[in-house]
Amino acid sequence: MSAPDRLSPFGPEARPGRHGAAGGSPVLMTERRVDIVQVMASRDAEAAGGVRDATGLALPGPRKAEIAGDAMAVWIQPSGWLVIRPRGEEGALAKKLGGNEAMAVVDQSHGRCVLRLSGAHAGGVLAKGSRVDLHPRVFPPGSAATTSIDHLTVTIVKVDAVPSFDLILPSSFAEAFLDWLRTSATEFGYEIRPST
Amino acid sequence: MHRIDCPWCGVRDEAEFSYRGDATVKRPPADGGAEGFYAYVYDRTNPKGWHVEWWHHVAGCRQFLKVVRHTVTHEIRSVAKATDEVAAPPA
Amino acid sequence: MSRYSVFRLFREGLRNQTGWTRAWRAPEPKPAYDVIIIGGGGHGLASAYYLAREQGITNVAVLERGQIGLGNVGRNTTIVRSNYLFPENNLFYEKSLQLWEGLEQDLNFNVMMSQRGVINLYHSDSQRDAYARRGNSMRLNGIDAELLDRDQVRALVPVLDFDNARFPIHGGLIQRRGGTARHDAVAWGLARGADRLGVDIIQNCEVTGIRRDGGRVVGVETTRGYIAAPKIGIAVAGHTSQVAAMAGIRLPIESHVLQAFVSEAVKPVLDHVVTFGAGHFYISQSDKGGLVFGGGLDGYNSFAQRGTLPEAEHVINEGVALMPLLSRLRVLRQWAGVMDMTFDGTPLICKTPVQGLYINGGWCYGGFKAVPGSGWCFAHTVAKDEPHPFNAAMTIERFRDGAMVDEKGAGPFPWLQ
Repeated sequence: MSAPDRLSPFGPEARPGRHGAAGGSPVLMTERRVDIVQVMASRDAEAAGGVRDATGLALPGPRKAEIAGDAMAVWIQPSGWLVIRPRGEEGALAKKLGGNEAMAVVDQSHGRCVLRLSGAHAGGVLAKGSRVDLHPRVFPPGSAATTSIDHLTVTIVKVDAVPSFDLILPSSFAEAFLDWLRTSATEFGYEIRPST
Repeated sequence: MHRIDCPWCGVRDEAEFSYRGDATVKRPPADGGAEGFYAYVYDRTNPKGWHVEWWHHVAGCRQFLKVVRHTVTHEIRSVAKATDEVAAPPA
Repeated sequence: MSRYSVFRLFREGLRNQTGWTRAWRAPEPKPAYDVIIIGGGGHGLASAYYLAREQGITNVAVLERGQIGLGNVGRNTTIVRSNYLFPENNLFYEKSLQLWEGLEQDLNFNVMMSQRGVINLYHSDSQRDAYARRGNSMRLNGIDAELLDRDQVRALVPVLDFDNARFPIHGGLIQRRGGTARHDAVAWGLARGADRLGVDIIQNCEVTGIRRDGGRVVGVETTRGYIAAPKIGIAVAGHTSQVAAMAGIRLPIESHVLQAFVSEAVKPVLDHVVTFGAGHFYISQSDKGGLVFGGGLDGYNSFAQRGTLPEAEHVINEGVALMPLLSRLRVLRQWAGVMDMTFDGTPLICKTPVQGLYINGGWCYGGFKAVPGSGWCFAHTVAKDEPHPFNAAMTIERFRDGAMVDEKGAGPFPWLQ
């Protein structure tokens, strides 16, 4: 028996469309349909080898994300990472990574979700709620920071210099977070795009 | 606003942290006796001055940190990892 | 010094207010007293007042580092009540509330006692049950308590957000005899009352050491010289650890910071003291019209008498959730005080391992309502060298003996009490 189709954790307000101030460069919001697996290592080097063999991704150091196309490995805490890939068969990524004495693997594909925020004002929107300095000089592409936004713990990954950010957040709070995000983005104008 | 320089994440606001109290008290061994556990749980120097204390970076790297902070000026002198030995500076 | 009365007020009106005299003397310290109380805040002054009035000990000095009324007695949100769950607490606070009810007559001083009622809101069935239990515990001990449903609360306090999506108000527990009192007037009234009974109130006199002879105290070193006394009471909440350390005593206390706020004055909108059940927030309206409110501790050890912004924001968030009109008001003043936080949220009024040294402290942030009761019990404890049944549970040893009075059930974490 297959699992039922997943609904967007961002709720009914995440319908595609253009909102807020007109003109200029709107902030683009796109839900990324991905699989997310948390890797907690007891032996970092061995875990890094295991993840590389399974996904081709290197495990990055503190405050960094290793990005390769649609996939990424994000440092979230000492000996802890999130490995993210476009959504595949339910549970396949966790199974592929496996678990062993060097690392514990937990499938977070339902527990967390990813929203991509892109556009000239994306940093300005996040700055209203984030305490992290997102200036390109100190937060170039490949940077990652876990912080508190609107009382939620959110991991911000700088994907490219547009700038684009992938926000990794708890699925059960995604709808509430989107409410904060829409309010914050209204002055710039924003567009919710179909999920990818 | 306290700004805590997390050795893992960089400088963050106190709102990301959860305070966990005096970091100088040591848990006694299991056979430490009632007096030992009383001291561990309840007996506090409560300094008016430099205080070595636990802050848990709950909305960040989730690590416990040892922060040396002044209880009158709120100045933070150092932030160390939980496993580091940190001595309280003289008042 | 003559009594205050309406006739006196009238007479002074005719004499262009030229006949008023100091409300209390400014004596030089004597070389020795029967009892020294360290700390001229609400608790210290009340202790001296009741030592003189109830225990007949008038050769008493109150030593205050600065001026009276500038510490926590002038920094609180002025709430008086006795709506506690445990008998160890509610009998004590009820004694205090009864003393409050007669305090203006006793002191011949207007402390603006206003029994406007204290309402604790509940927001769920389980919270209603908890408040019903608390109310029953109070009534079993002869204290007034009444469980209100939603409509009854709405009739009393229509300005609240009853249909908040997260925390709808289901009702409340009211203690109608609770209310507010003018905080610094209490300090002034007690100082005047104690002074009239012969107590020396010595300001700008900081205690720098406690002199011991073996296992007992013999006097204190101060910035104005050595003063001898066979009995010394510490009533310096906020700094109890520091003063007790002068006598070599370590305590289960941490000092934390608590903020309070007052808004601009508006016409009467709130006739009661109201506490939010879904967060730590309490509010009342002062006679001048300002909304006086506060919340929880900032949550870290501090002697700074100032808080930081995250807690200020949190408190105001709570306030707006409870009472949306707050969002349209400006905050006029914000300040903070240093709280003696014990590990179970209950104070210390007790003897110490040092003979002749007594502690009145650990008030967490509930000290103001306790002022007369604490002074009354502390005076008894100091005079008789044994506690009154009302404060018998408020010992240091309760932590060692596993007899904590943990009203909130927060565990041994001072910043969570």
